[in-house]
Amino acid sequence: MSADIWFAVVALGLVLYVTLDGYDLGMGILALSQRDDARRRSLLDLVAPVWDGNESWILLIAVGLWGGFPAATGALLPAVYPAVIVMLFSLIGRGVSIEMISNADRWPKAWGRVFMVGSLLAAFAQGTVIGAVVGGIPLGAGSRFTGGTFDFLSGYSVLTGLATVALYALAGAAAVKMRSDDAALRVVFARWGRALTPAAAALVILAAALQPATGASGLTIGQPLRIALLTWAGLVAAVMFVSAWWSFGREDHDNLAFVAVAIAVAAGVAGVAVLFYPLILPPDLTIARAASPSSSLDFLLGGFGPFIPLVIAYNAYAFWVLRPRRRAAAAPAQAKERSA
Amino acid sequence: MSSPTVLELSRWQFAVTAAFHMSFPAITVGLSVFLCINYALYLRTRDPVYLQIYRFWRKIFAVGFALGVVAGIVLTFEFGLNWGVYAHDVGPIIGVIIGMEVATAFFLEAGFIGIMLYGEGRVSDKVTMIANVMVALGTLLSTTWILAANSWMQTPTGFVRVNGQFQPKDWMSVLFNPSFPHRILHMLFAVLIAATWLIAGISAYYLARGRYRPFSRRSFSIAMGLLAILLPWQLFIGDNVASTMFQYQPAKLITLEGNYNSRNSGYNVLVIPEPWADKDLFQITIPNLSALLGPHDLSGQATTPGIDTIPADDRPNIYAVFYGFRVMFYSALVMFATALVGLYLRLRRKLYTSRRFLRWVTWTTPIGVLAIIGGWITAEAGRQPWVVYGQLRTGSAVSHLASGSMIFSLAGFVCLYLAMLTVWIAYVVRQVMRGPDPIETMDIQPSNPPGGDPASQEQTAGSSATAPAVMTSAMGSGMSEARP
Repeated sequence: MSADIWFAVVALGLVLYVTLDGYDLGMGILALSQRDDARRRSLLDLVAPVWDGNESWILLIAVGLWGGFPAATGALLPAVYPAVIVMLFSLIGRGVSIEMISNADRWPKAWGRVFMVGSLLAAFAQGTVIGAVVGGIPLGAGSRFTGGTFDFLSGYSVLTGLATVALYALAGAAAVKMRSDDAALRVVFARWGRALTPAAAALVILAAALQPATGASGLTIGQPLRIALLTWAGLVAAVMFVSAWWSFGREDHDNLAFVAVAIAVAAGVAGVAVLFYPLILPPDLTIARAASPSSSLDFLLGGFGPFIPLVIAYNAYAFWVLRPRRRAAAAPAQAKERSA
Repeated sequence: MSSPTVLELSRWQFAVTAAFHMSFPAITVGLSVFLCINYALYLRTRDPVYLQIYRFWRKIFAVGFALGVVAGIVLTFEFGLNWGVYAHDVGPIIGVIIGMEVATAFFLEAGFIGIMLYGEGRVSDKVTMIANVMVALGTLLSTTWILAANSWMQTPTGFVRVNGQFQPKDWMSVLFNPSFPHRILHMLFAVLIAATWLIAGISAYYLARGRYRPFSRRSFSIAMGLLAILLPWQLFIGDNVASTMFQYQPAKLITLEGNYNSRNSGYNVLVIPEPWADKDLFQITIPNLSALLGPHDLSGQATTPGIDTIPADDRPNIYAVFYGFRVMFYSALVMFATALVGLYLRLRRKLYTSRRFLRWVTWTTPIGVLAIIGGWITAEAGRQPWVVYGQLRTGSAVSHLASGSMIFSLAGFVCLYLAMLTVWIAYVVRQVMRGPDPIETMDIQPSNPPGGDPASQEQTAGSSATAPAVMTSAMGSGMSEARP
């Protein structure tokens, strides 16, 4: 029971990370679409104050898995070593470049490239890890990984990598709509959002559709309850994608696109959790067998659990305090001018 | 199992990434406390010099903190990436402790750092103060959890082993393991000293050139005052750490003493060991000193046990342990002596004018960080060949990886970290060259009472008298000198 609750906590960490760091990685990816340094800079200015707060959620996943499911951590990470290393290198380079660019007066070309390519690679690497896990990681004796270096890389994990890139870029476009006060930027990325919504949705649907063919043998979607829950997750995600697409076409409802993407991500993660349960690392490592003993889980639930709402509360406060100030009525007027 | 090359490469990678990460908290933990003190002093006195000090050091803190976070994320993943067996076996204990660190400390810092760095003008100065306190609290808590985890690996207690996995039996005895109380104190003092030394060094640089007078003078006064208080305590705490070490991890203490036989009662200043021949090729020894330092034997006769008393399979690397310790210990002695000279100069009212002293402090700016890295090398290399002392050998904790992966990742980390180190040092140097923002152009929040007029130096020194007791005593005679 406490292992299942903890599994839900790790899933919550995944939702928060994908939504929050997803959007600022997505802004880095979107910067690649712009030729104008000033516009890249506007994107970076949105990322600079929040990136390390957003990125820190990856630690909730990492330590949540390690403390709660040490067998899964010890098996998974060596199996996806190259992907995680590429992700770490990208996150490091990107973090440094953000600080460097914010402290520079102009747009330094080289650092700018590190920022954009780093965002892209980090997103892609994370996506391949998800694909590798869904595809299944066979383990040796004592739940240890004994396979080869590139076993994790397959057509399917490349597909999930691309889907992740598209999803993050979409979250980035939605966050621009929500947080930017730069009218021109909002117009450009509303257009991108309009295009990215169907693209991301298509890639996600493709990945979901191919899962039964390429997924690990331990995963089944047979049981009625599982089918019902998966259907619901799919429906929620579909409604959210449509809402985001609708919102990108309008000049009001600034928060809707981002909220919709966040809920779609939550539905997606919930769907994967439903698909996996009771496994944590397909094809055969179960939540129960990977879990720490109850003396550890109870300590985590009692000590860690109460902090999660608190952490979310003060992060939300900071997020609100540091929101860019809107130049109230001026913004929509300018936007019209531009689009005309 | 993995090849010996993979083990060696994994160990090097961990050493490089851990040492690199460590050099950031070594500064930022202490800086966060220093920033808190200065902002509190500013709110209390409304003296803009405190705000100027606060803002200058906040810029350096911000980048150091961000780099430390990024390098810290790497470590969190490495436990599982390179040490999969370790991650599996100690997860129920170390994974949980690191989890508590993330939940209670790290997120506290991450949540409030944005308000601390970007909140001025958006929130009231009380909220800024709270954000400062929360960030400082977060860094201190974080240090505490990490030290609890690491100390458990040095002196593990309160667990049972089930199929090789360590499972907690009594959390109190896991967390308050025998080496923890001494090591946490030692580390807290170390980070405070390292940050204060950095501040002292840079202020001394300004003072020696006569630049940014009120700013550099006050920073230097606070810093040297704190150091004169912290350093004697640190030597005393370090002695306690060594005593616990001798009781629980004798091999580490024996190795850092550097004798191969048990006949020496002197202190080895320098040795050139020949581990393959079980002897020291060359030794410089101060007679009787080790007896005095170690077992506190005033007769000077007590001898130190030799490395030959440790089974050959259980010996740590003497080069790392002996010299890691010497780097830390000699740095501490240099700092202690410097702090004493500073105290003497302050009493003679020459603290801000003795050019030789100021230049000396400038040149020793990074010495506190150096001491911390030396200390950690001693602690970690001295625990070898165990990853959990006496329980789990490092050699059996490593992941099944290809040596190609390891070469790729180690080479990548070395290149990236060298670049980052260059960027970081260049950033600090540039900030130092640029100097603090002049008070005249600082945007000070309108809540200031008219008393905080930047021009009135008299007012400045006078109103400082309301500062908390510790600070007042630390600044002592410096304040009277601050008057024009």
